[in-house]
Parts: sequence; structure tokens; C-alpha cells
Amino acid sequence: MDRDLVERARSGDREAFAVLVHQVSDSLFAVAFRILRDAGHAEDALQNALVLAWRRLPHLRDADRFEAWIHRILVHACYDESARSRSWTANVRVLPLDGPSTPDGSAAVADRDELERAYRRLSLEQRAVFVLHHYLGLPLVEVAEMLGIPAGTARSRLHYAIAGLRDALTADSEPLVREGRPA
Amino acid sequence: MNDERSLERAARSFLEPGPTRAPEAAVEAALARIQTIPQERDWHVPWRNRPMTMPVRLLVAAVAIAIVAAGGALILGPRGPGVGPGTSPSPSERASPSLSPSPSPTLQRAAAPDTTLGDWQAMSDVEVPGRFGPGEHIQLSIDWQSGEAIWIQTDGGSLVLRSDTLAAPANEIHLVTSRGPDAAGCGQGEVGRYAWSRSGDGQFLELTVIEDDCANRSGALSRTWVHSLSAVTDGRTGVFPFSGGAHTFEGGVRMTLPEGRFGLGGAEGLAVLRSMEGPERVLVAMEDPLGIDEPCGAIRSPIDIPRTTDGFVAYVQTLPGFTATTEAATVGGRPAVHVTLESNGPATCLAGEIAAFHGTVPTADEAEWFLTIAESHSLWIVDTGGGHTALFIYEGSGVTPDEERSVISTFEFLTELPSP
Repeated sequence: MDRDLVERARSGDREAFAVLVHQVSDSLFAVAFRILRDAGHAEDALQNALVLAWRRLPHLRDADRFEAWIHRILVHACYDESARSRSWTANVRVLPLDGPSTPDGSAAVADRDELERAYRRLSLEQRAVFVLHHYLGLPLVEVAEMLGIPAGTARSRLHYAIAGLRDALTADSEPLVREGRPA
Repeated sequence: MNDERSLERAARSFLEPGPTRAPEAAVEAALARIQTIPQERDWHVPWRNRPMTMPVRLLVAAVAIAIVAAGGALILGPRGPGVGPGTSPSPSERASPSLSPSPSPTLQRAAAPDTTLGDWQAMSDVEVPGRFGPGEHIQLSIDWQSGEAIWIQTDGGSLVLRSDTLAAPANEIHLVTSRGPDAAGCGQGEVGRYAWSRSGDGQFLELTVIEDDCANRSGALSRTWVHSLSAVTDGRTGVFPFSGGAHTFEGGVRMTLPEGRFGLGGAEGLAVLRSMEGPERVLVAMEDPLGIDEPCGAIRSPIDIPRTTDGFVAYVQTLPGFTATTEAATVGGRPAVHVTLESNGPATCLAGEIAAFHGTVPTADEAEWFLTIAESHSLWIVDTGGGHTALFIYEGSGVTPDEERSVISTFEFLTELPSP
């Protein structure tokens, strides 16, 4: 990330901010979609995060932390987006997603459906840690730092996310993970 | 697929499908929106790095003051008529020795007087086209860091009438319109001169226009302003922007704090004023506090506490490591219970602390309030009416029991901004 661009954007340069946005928006949207599992909500979260980032940019202390900082804003925008549409969880369709082909295609599809359902039962906080760790490939320490939570909390959320997905695949679709915020 | 590694592989492959590019229209729409949105001022509080010595600590990252300062205005929300230009405080405090040099014909920049810095609330009685109108709540901020800028913030978050401060006589504040899109009808370089005075208790700041090239600015600024205990404040008497559950007291809580610099922080559903100099003092306010299901647990969740004083007391009596004693009280004319928690055993969990309370918003991160098991704690749970409660804690290494009771006794729950 170009430090000079960040500094210019911090000083109110909208063109510099636009350049930064084009550099990070794909990653932000991909993360938002994977947390929210809905393209429309992910778009709204992305837009809100970008606007909020613009407003709050003067508070960014370290220009080198811009990417982590804006991802944190994005994750919170996802939380807000979900809160704004409380009926969303009940209304979403479980979309069949194309997965990697396996010798036993039907089993894979069944697994994916179970995973999808189990994933939607995870709290957003758990999903955020899960996505940042397993999709962006960030170490848990960095995930914790990005989200502003203790490393133990990040580990705990990941543990429960994995446990929830494991349960989905090893048992019937009994929801074993509590809704809400376990850590 | 019950092996950990295969499960993680499945997890990764589960996350791989899906879009990897942001829709261009969404990005462009966001960029279009920011063309008309100003950036917030950087009101970052330089928290000192020091060990937490107070017996309670809030597990929050230092939150940029600006977030709460802006939120404070939102918490206050709409309210009835308050102060206006026709009111006049009884100023007993005049201008302090000038921070500024003598008036200068060359528009020399200089800081506003120390005692005017911070946030001030009022109800507008004027129209600034496209920005705010009569009856709307507005907040005047005089940059506490540099003292060299002022602006007005609306409940909608707009920052308008941004001006720089100029060298002025001790009892005056001189302004010049800043560059940028926030002028709200003022031309760049237009100068305004105002007389100022502050009431003896610190509660009111009166600005009186002497002359101003910009009518919008003089209409908005020239009035009596109410001291807001938000952003960074010098303590004393003011209004804490905390309106209770369901906004049962829209005007906030008037209180008198010791004189000294405080900064507002917190998270959703709670507010924390913390001393920035001198002895450690912390004021915590939670509307309709939540409890914690496993106060000693590494894995825990917020849980509802009945929104009554009895319900709160029943909850705190279950907290491990403490014995609770209660005393009926009145806070701000409302029924309340003063709860004292005394340690009743060795600290055995979470490094000697328990997660005792959570701010009102269960999904808010970093909104847990911890209690040190080896210490005693003093809690005030207030029935704020309408089926809501508010929890207040005022403690810290610099707070004596007498000071605590003295500060709590000044609380007044307001339905509108006070007037002199």
C-alpha cells in the first residue's frame, strides 16, 4: 500500500482515496461476501465501510496499517449490515455453490449443504475470524489485532466456528453452536 | 471428515467459491457519496500509557474520542427548546489571561482561550440552509488539541461553519472561515469577532457577536452554549451525553465533576469518562446493562438482566468472588440502589478478574466491564423510568468515598438542555 497515497487521503485528498479504494475494494468485497453470504448485503457493507473509512481516515495513526484498519471497518460494517436486516438469517436461501469435484459428487454436495447451513448458524464474530484466517490466510495474532480483540478471543471464536462446522458434518443438522457472541 | 486437517481443508474449499471482485457500481457509488461528506476532525486523545491501577478496567481498545463525541450528539437526539440567544448566563468567569497576542490586522492565527475548548451543546433557533434549522440540536466544538479551529456538528454528522481562530483580545474570540466545503454559506476569509464569557460553574459559554461578515455563522454561534462532558472536557459542571434506555432523559445527565481534564471513550451501549491528568478517576455509565453468563469463563456471552433495580441486585449477588450489600438510595431524584461488592475469597479466574457487565448492545465488541475480585466496588443502579435502568460507577485510585457520593449526588436527569 502506497504510504504517500494514504497520507494524502488522510489530508482530505479524495482522488488519492479513490485510488486506495480501487486497490482494496476487491478484497473487502470478497471478505464481506464470505462473512455475510449474500452479495447484496456485502455490497451495502462495502459501501458503508468505504464511506466510514473516508470519514474516519484522519484518525488513522499509522499509514502503514491502512489495509488492516479498513478491513476492521469492513468487518464492523458487516456486523451493522446484519443487525439492520435481522430477518435476513431466516430469509436467506441456501444457494448451491459449485465446489471442487470429488469422486463422490453427491456426498460432496451433501457436505457442502451441511457446511453452508452450519456456517450460517455461526455468529458473525465467529465467521469474521474464520474468514480472515482461512480465506485471507492471516495468522490469528494478526486477525486479533485487525479486529481489536485479544488473541485468546480470536482463538476461541475460531475454535467454536470449527466446532460448529465439524458438528454439522459429523451429526445430523442439530445446531450445536450457540447463537450470539460466545467470546 | 472428522479429522481436524481435513475439516480445515473443507473449510478452505468452502470459502473459495464466490465473488472475488467488487462490483464496480458499488465502488463508484461509495466514491460518489464521499464527494459531499467531510472527514472527521482528528480528536484523538493521547491516552497515557500506564498500568491500570484502578480496581476495575474496561476491556476496550482505546476508542477514538471522535466516534463517541459524534455519537454523543446522536445519543442526545432531538429535544425540546433549550437555550437560545435571548438567554444570558450570569458570567462570573471572564476571559483568562490571553493565550493570544494582541489583535493583529494580518489575521494572525492563535488558539482560543483554554477554558473555551471542548464541546458545547445548544438548540438551534436559526436556519443554515441545507445544514440545520430551528429546533435542531447542534454541537459547537472548539478544538481541544490546538484550540485553533471551531466547527458545528449536527446530529446528522455534518461538520459545518468550520473556522480558524485568530489572535484576539483576552475576552474575545476571532474567527476566519476555513477553506473547504464546510463553509455553509460563509466566504473564504470572512472574519467574525465574538465576545465570550463562561459561567462560574463552567456550565455555560456565552458567545456574543461583535461583528461577523458571515450571517450564517453569527446566527449559529451567537448564543448561550451548554458545556458537554464529551470529547475532551475540563470537568466541572456539564451535561453528560447519556440519555438512558429508550431515551428516557433526552437532555442527558447533568453532573459536576472535579476540575481536570477528562476524555470520553467507550463502546456501543456504554460511555466512559476518564481522567487524563492527575489522580485516576473513571465514570462509567451503562444503560440497561447486560450480565455475563459465565463471568469466569474464557467463553462467555452477554445475558439479559431484568431491567429493575431488584433484578440487577439479584444478578450481582450471583457474581463469583463477591459479597453484595445494598442500600436504598436516590440518584437524580430517581429510585436507586447502591451496591457494594466486597471480595469474599481468593481470585481464581481470568487473572483475578471477572467479566461482570456488558454494554447494552449484545453484539458490541469490547464492551465488557471487568471487576477485580480482590477489590471492593461501588455500583449505582438507577431506575430511570419506563422499564429501564442505568448503571453508574465512579471510582479510581483518585476517588475517595466522599468524592464518589458527592459526584453522584449532583446527577440530574434532564429532559432538555439546561438554561442559565
